[in-house]
Amino acid sequence: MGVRIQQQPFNIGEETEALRHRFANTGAIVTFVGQMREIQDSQPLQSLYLEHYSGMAEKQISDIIVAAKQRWPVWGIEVIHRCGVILPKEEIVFVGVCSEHRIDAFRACEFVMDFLKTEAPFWKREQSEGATRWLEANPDDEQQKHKWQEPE
Amino acid sequence: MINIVFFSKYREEFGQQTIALEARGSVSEIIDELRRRYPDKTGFLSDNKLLVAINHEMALITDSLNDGDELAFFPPVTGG
Repeated sequence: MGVRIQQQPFNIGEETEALRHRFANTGAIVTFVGQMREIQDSQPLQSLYLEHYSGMAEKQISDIIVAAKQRWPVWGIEVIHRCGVILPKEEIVFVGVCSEHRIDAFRACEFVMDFLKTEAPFWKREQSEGATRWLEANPDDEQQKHKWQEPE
Repeated sequence: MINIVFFSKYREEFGQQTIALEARGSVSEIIDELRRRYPDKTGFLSDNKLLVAINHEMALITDSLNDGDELAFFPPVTGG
């Protein structure tokens, strides 16, 4: 288990099914899928281009996975993040966590996404009709990350 | 020699993703050198949201670079 960064789409069902059978005594599988929206600010989107820092992206996500596994007793965490051109409704990111109990899987999955959004070196460029723009980081994402600093 | 890489809108403004620079010192000194050599392509180095990484680790502009290091400049990330 670990990190995959790839241009080609992935199959959510196949990835989830693989998680179910990978570890003994898995009682809970929690998955998150982020996908490309069709509309932004009332404008239909044509595509998204995802640039990434090869090498550092894998390392940052691996470090996030290690931090999550140190914090919660989970059996495994899988992260898949696409790069390159994404089309509306296509999947962008997959986070899958399997554990014995659901609370740990839910927490670890949310933790991984909150840190991935603010620390993994990817950048999105939106293409709509007649306009191209690099997305700005969302301050709400930093706020989401800070909640993990508080004791549970 | 230091390998410098640029990402996202910084890459577009600089016009290329990577350059090799015969230089040493702190990130701040490298920034000054880039501004001196490429004054028309380095406005982004004044962005108050500028982020830097050295050898795939987040860094500060006061950090020093060694020969063979890779220095990256990028804006805040937007993945996920």
